[in-house]
Amino acid sequence: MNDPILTVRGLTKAYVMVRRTLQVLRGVDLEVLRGEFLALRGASGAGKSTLLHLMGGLDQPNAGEIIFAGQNLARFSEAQRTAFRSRQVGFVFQSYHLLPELDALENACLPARIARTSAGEAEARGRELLARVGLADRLDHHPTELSGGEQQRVAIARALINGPELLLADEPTGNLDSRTGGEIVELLKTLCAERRMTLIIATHDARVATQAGRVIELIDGRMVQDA
Amino acid sequence: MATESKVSVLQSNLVEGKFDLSGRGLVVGSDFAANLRLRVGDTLSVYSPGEIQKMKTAYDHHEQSGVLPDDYEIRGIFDTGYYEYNARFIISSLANAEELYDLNDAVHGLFVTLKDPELATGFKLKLESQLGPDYDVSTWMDQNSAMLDAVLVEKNLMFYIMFFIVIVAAFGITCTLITFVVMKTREIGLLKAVGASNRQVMLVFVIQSVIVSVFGVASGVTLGLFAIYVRNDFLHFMNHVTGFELFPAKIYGFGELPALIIPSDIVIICGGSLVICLLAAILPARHASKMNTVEALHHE
Repeated sequence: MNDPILTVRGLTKAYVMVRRTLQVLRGVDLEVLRGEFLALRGASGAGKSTLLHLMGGLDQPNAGEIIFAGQNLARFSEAQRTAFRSRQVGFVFQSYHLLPELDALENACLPARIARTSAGEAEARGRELLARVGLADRLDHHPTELSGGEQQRVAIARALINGPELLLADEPTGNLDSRTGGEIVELLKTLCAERRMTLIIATHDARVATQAGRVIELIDGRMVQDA
Repeated sequence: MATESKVSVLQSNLVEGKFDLSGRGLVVGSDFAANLRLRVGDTLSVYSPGEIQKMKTAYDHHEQSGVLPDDYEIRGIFDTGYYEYNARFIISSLANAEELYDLNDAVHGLFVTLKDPELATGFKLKLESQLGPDYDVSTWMDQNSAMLDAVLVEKNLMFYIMFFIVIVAAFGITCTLITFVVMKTREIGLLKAVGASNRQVMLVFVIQSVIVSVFGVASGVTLGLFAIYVRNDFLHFMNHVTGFELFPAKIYGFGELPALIIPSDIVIICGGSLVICLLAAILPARHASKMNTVEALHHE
């Protein structure tokens, strides 16, 4: 935990609506160290998810820089951002976003197959990761046959399958009861520590934030606290 | 007779009796026999054009003389499947026909059968140049030009109708795929979030369309060929059930619905359908690939 893996400078993002412009981020500056566990806190609409999307290359800012491992993500082409999402970042979403047609193993292997990893190797990695998240005996279960916590574990295995350096979790406990949510955060924390991965969680849950090494508070698109 | 059977289908198309023209024997078509209620073994009285002329002359001169017709025996009834022949042709021996028309040792005309009927026009030119202007040479195409033109018009019309049906079907594919893309918006967002490129997302929908199109074309060809195979059974069934003749021989000239399967036509139709279906898929597939990842992920 030393050199910065991600540096954000003067980041702004606005969405143009029909009659008005919604300013979501108003100049965010942030530095995240390699291997750090950072929590982004804030009320709904504060800009946590937007900041997470921008840092993960899902969207582009209106102004500002996002420096990841020395490269400015804001200037990436579409193809470069796709490669970045495929190889260097993993996402965990509040509503899991598992494909209902695929079983747990196939869902976990999806990013590896998209990245053209051979089926055999992807499956081996998927089995190992699902075993690691405690789902070794649920490989052929479809999302509808899994509980919320189990679905989120599959989503975590999916996020880790391409060995990313950065794991971004957007309200990962939002759809779970507090006990299961606590287990998921604990799992994320352990997995990131094992793999020396950087973990950034967007949450409005104070209990989740207390688990993080550092907490950033966002109010109305501005960083007001860096504790 | 052995040689004649190679160029004429009459002998193999007998439905009653036998092909016996000896003595005063006649073979007639099935529709002709049905119209006159003739059976094998019946006698048919025939006035030749010469005899009718004699009767007319005698009548004009107020002469009290009668001209008797020649009596022939029906030995066989044929069904060529072609109404024109079945209703209008009577087959007799050459000697009887020559006598009927007072031709001595001559004939009115000769039928020539070619192995490939499509070569008739070229062969006609060859015959015309060899026989000179005293002979009139006509092909089956000349004799049936009105019907062939009508068939050609029908074929072209069918082509346009088919084309518009395929266009409508293509719109159907587009609409289905647009609905599918909208339904799968969140999944598209997820695929892009985990590293799928625009091209990969587009390919997902194009490949889906290709699979549907190939399956559709294969089913269409199979069902189409089956429909051709059972077409006459179907017509007979409909005729039996409704009492209404869908393909009247008197209008179309054929006893049964003929069909010619041209492989190149099938290739063109299948290839064209596949291309149109593929084009119909491109717009929704492109729309899917260009979706904003964040908006797609949050689609309700």
